[in-house]
Amino acid sequence: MALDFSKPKKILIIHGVQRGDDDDLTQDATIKATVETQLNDLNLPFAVDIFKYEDINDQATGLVKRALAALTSNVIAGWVVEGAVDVIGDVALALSEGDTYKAIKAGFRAKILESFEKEEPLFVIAHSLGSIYAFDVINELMKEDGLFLHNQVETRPVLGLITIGSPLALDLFERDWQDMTNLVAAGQVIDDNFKLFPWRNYWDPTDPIVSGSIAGLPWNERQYKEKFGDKPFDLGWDARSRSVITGKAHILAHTAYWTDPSVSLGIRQLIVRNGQG
Amino acid sequence: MNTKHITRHLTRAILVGTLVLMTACSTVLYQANGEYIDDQNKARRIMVQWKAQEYHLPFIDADVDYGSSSLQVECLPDVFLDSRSDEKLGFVFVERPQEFRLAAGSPEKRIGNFLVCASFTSNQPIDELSIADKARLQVLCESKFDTPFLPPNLAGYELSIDQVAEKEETLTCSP
Repeated sequence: MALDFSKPKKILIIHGVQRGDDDDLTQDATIKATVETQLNDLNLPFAVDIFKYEDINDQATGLVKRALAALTSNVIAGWVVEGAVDVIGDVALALSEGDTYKAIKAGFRAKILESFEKEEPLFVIAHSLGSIYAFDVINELMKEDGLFLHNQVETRPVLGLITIGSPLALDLFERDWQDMTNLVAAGQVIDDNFKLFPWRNYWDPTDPIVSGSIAGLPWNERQYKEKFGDKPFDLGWDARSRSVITGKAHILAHTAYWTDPSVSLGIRQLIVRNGQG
Repeated sequence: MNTKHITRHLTRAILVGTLVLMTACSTVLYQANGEYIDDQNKARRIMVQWKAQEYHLPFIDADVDYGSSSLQVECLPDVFLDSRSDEKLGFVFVERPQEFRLAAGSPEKRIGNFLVCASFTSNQPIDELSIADKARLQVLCESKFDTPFLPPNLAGYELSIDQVAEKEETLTCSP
């Protein structure tokens, strides 16, 4: 199976830590509107899809949420506790790497392969906790027979990855460049004609999910450089970290990437450079 | 301490943190504009845009600056987004040699695994430029992609700092 680069490009979103349920997720519509302004006059048709997993998480944490909410003394406190468990529960489920984590990964993987079967050139945008799932699934797909063959972009079910507001560099998640798959076949080298796999990581300095600082102290990127830096280059990845000044602070910055012009320019650059084969 | 107290303290910490951050940081947005003549003999806008945010946090050693930048050209779909402020090379845009090649006659300058593909020079450091100052943009590389980029120009395109913009701009294509 191989990609057909004449087909419209597809952007697949995987969301992050979330309150509410699947019906509350509308990031696909936001990204469609933002990227449309970038790509409309370029005659570059594209579609946006989203993989939602909030209902899977909610099933796993539902009992705890209801029990804790029932123990609180008033309605407002109950609502706050329920919300906190919703968010913290999402992170805990990813960290535990148990059945829920596996179910989410399997669902996201199936969504990517469904697109590959249709031969669609696909790009993944992963927000927040979703970047952990995207990172893991893409690295696993890279190890599979017949996929991501040396320097053959048409065998790549994912042509590029964008992470926004990602906690990937936090110690908590225990990911670094050593968890990344080597795309360079044995006995081969990376020369100037090698097709690197692009990964763009966007971060706002005050985003507490990126920095791990609850006070939102500005992040200095040291953690990212230590864990990733330019080491992925030797594995055939083009990993670049870009700061974004969203104009918002703290948790508001964490949700501001979706409409940020720097991020949408980055999406445009990624598709223009990698969507033609 | 019960749940109510914990959530109250957490909410206060986040609110105070947000307020402190918003007052401790300032954002500035600059644009340098110029033009080039395309193959239809039409003048097209070239724009280098950079946005910087400065934090001045009392009692904490965190007087740090962050920023983002772009080099965009009207009607040309590709953009440069990765800049470096290098002590020797100045303010430059870098690209991978897997994506761009040096144009004929361009000097080869590298930062790590990146080629220096565009150089923005002026008589003052970039963070001290003001309206009406002039700058020169040398484009040293050409794209390996089918999509065209700004033609290499070792002499440089002349840009002027003619706007301190309110909002980030993205150039598309007007007829």
